[in-house]
Amino acid sequence: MPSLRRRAGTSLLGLASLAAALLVWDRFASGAGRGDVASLDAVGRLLVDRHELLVAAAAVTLGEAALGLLTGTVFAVVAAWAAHVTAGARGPLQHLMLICYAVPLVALGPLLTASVDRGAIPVIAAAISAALPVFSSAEAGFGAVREGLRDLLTVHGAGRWRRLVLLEVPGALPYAIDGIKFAVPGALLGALIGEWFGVERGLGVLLVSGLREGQSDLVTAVSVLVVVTSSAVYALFARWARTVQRRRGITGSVT
Amino acid sequence: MRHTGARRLLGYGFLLGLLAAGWTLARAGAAVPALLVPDPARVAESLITKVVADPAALPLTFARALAGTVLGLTLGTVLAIVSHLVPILEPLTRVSGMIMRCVPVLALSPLIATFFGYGGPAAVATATVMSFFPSFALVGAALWRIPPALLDVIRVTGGGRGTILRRVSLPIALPELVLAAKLTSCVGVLAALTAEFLTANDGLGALLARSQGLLDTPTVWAILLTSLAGSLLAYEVMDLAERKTRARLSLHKN
Repeated sequence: MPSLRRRAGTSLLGLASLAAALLVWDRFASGAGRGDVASLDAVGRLLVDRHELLVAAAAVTLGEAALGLLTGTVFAVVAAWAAHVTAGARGPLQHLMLICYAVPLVALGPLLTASVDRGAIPVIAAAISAALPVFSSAEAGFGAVREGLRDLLTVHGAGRWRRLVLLEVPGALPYAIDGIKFAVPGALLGALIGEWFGVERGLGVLLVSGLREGQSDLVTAVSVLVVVTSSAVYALFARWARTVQRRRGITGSVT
Repeated sequence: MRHTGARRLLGYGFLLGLLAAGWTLARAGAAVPALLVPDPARVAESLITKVVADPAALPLTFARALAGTVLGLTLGTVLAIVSHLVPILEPLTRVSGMIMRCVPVLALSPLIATFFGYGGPAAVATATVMSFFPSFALVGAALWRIPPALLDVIRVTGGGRGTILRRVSLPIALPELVLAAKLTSCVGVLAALTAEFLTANDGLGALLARSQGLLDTPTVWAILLTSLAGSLLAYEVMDLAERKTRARLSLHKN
């Protein structure tokens, strides 16, 4: 019950903060000389009038982010497993993941433009952005599997692959899902930035074209949509992670 | 600690060697277009003449990234202390933590630019916003984790809220502030570069946008490698600072 009250308090304060921020925003937009900042009214109108365009763009971006998240997750989980079973591989793989996290996507974009199909750039960028959180969590998951259970399976004749399928993957799953939850904003960020490089549709395209053409209402409306979409997808994954953890008898965040 | 540092250096050396080998193989085999993998000598030349030596490129971006990161960390810490002193504001820390986790703030740099102005201000503001949330959430959470026994000791010896803040809260929050600095050290350069790419006429980001238009891949590679090296160096420095802070305060990671 205190947890429920705490969550209700946080939600209320969140709503109050949002209302205060919107009020400050409106005052700021209506202030003299702030032509660059769109008023709430203009943003609301644009969200309603051009909802078909915005929803279609959001669907494209979400699709790219989902594909990138899937690719990044597969890559990160395989890397985490390799780090776990191969002596000496952990350090270089950790460095590789850190480099993925630190690589400037805006600098990678022009290089990818010259080498791959432009439609693939958002997916590649999303995969790169999502890799580190999933790798860290999956690595912790493979490490959390009890040695005794491994020994038990080995004694019963299970080889490396059977141990992986029967014990290590199920054991690491709640951790990996927790990592995927944290990778969601990264995947969306990668898809959005990837769309700045010659792609024809998506929220990232609208964001940049709005900025270049001075349409601050479009920039703001797309930003609002990005925040809402990201929060909703994150909440969805958080719920999935909680369900998996509850079924496995794990309480709280696993990482 | 010295062994950890040597191992990390060895790891980076290994990856650098791998990159050099891959680069040489890609050029020799002609499997990848020469436009994508240019001559290393041309990359080095671009690195020196266009990126490092030009005062309107690397120094400007790094200065903006540093200014934004320091400003964000300071603002986050000050607001965390204020919300700690005014308990009704405590849930703000949680809300901030939620934003930090579920919103891709860097993708909102165009919106930040419309609020704070294009070019340099947008770069500094984006780095500030990116650094604000981690410091506010982490320092704020640490301030609420003070052991009650310590508070009792201070109160029994006649200390007030100021003494508690100075002698207990801030030392406990310090490693979290350094951790926030470590988490944001990588993204400071990325934030400044991204904002400059879209809105500025100077800095590494603007140079990147120009180079992309001219298909000048040696310069794009030079910017990518410089930015990556800057981010990783900042991360490693802050990682060392975090380990030293925790060791000095006899705290262990997690």
